[in-house]
Amino acid sequence: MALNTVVAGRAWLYSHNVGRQAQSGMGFSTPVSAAITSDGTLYVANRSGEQNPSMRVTKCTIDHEFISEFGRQGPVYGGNNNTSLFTWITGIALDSNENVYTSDEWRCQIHVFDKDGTYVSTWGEKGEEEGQLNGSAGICFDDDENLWVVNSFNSRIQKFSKDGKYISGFGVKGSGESELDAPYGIALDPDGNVYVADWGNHRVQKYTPEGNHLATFGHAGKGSGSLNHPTGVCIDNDGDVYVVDWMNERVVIYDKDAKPLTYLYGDAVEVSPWGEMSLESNPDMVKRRNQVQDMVEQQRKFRMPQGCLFDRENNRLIICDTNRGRLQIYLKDNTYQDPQFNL
Amino acid sequence: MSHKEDLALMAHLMRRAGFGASHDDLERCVAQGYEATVEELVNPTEAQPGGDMATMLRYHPSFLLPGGTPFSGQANWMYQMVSTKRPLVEKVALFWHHVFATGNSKVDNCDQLLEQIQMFRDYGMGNYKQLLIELSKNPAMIFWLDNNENHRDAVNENWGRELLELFSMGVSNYTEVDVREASRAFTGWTISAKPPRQPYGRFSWKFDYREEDHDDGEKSFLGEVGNFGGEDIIDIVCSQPATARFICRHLYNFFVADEVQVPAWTIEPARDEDALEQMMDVFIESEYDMKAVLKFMFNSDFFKNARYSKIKSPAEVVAGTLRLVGEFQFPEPGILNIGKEPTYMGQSILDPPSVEGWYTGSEWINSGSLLARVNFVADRVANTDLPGVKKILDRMKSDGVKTPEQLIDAATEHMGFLQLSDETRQQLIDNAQTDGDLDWANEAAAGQRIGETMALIGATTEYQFG
Repeated sequence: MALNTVVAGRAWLYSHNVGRQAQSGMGFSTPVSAAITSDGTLYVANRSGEQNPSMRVTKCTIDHEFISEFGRQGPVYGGNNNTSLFTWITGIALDSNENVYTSDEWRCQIHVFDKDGTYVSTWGEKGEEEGQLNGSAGICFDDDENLWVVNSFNSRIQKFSKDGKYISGFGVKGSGESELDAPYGIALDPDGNVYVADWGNHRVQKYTPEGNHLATFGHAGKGSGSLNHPTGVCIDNDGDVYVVDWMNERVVIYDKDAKPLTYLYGDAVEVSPWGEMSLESNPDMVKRRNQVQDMVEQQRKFRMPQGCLFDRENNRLIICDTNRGRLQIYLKDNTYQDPQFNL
Repeated sequence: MSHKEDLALMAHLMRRAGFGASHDDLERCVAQGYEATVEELVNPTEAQPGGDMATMLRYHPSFLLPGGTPFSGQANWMYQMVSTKRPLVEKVALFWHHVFATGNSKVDNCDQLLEQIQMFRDYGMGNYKQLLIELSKNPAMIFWLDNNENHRDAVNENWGRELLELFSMGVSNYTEVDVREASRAFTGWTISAKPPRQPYGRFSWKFDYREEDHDDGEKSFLGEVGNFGGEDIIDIVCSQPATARFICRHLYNFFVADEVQVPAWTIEPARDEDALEQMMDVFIESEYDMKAVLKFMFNSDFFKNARYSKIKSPAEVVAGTLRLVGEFQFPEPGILNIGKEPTYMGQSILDPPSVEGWYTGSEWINSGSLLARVNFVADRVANTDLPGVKKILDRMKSDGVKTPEQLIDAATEHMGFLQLSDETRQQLIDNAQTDGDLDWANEAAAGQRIGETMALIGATTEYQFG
């Protein structure tokens, strides 16, 4: 167990975890993506389950303050007949006014809310053509406040204005060098290059904003630098690339040249404040925890994590630990001084 | 044998060793031959993946750890049955779920039940003795039958009793002393404490052998004496002819033809004693190799001649029909409901009524369950928007199906080369004749008629029987 992951002159220091499993309020229900403001306000997309009205967006702070939740309407009975705004909420992103954009992979829609969670609008038309959405999964804004949207079902990447006008796009389904198969997460580096989690091909693809293929990160497998259905991707200020290696239950960190640097497997050694509330109200849970020989070792690990984001202003990595109902947060420390080994 | 008869025989095999097959798949199987198809079922290749777990969990992450709510767990498994390319693996898992019945009503943890089903996929077609060892260590089973309460100084006989009564030899083949001694041998076989469900959701149990809680003393079991542990008990159990008979009778009941219910096996002879003896010989000679006995069984004349002698279980009705109509090949919204469908017909998968499992055969049928079965099939096969139904319509159109006789014959072929009784076939033809020939100039109307015809066929004995 190591709370500080140090490699190649870099250090990632585990900070804390936010959340617990909860169908409402202070907690998350299979969180799949998140967005953050510079002052640490988090918006978390809760996928939850079918016929379960806890699919929602949670607004809270990175310091455990629950603010609100929205997007939930119920009851939800699945299929296309439900009364919820969401069927498969997947991506989430914020514009400069802190308006909240969410993608729905099944309905092929982008919903927009203001920062208080008031519904503003919906755009997106389902289809195969340019400018149409077909499995809208990961989303992110570029510096010009255009929204990049991953089309997972036809493996296209498209750029739209904030109000949904199509600007450009690229991407072809396949397993060739520049092709994509059921892509999921998306992120841009500081230069505007586009990184896509190529889920079905077990790699991350890097393109210019025009869609020219630049590099490939990872390959199928379990070993060094390999990936098994990657879902999320993000890039830090130094160009290091973080990939949520979903089915290997880890985060792979590559340098900007696609060389694997190290891995994060989860470090949630502590119970979050919201989690403590669950335990305080259930003494049997505490008794049971006290009987588990390797309690911390089991608790700390990611369980099928899906989303990630890098908060560049505060140099912190946030991982959606999906099946544990929490976010795990790491600080990247570029000034870390390794202690002497003979301490 | 005519080509059509070959197809009908292949359809019979694919219904029993899987969940049915499309017209195209049946043609491919017939082309490669019957025995080669059995081999492919028993030893699937890399090109035949199991159910697409990754796609399902991507879109339904909550299906990974469904906890005590059965619906997500049931949908998880049903999607595997519907999407797998190695159907016998899934069918054998269903078989062992019948025999080693473990239920969510007590376990309250579909995660662990799904883990048990995965164990059946991994070991269910291997060596039966090894399977029993894995079962003895399976956390869901340990909790279900209280072996975590079976201590050196306080023996709990639940697991030891069911191991002998329901999982290996059957009643009348052991004494109460044997039950006690077997239970002593499994003391210390338990599960370790796992993190509780709050605050971070479900964690998995792990098998834990506690030597300090194991009774290592001398035991007398089925005439043998020694300081037996659990593996020794399983060795002795497997050496009993009663075990081979019990397991082979279960196989016959599940794959070949409906038997009387298990509690009557001590007083009622097997439906086909000769077949059972042959299966037992193979089972014993192969040292309990499941693949050997499955291959022998599927290639036997008694299997080939056993068409329509077994009422489909609800899970078979649902999975087979969904595969026929091509629904839920992708885990689209609404998938939660497909796990519930067998429940409406009397089989709540992952939650059998007791450790005895389900009563099968005619016990599947009552006025409510029959209606649920017929309506489920009718709703699907009459839905001309579903890809499998569309494919059938296209094929009928290109084949020039027109007259009522042609319509009935083509529909029964596409629904699995069903061999209807003369009376049933004539009734269907009479019904079809009221609307005359199919008019392909009006494709929607033709499609509706075909859908309605297939809905009627779905209600026949031949479709509802395997």
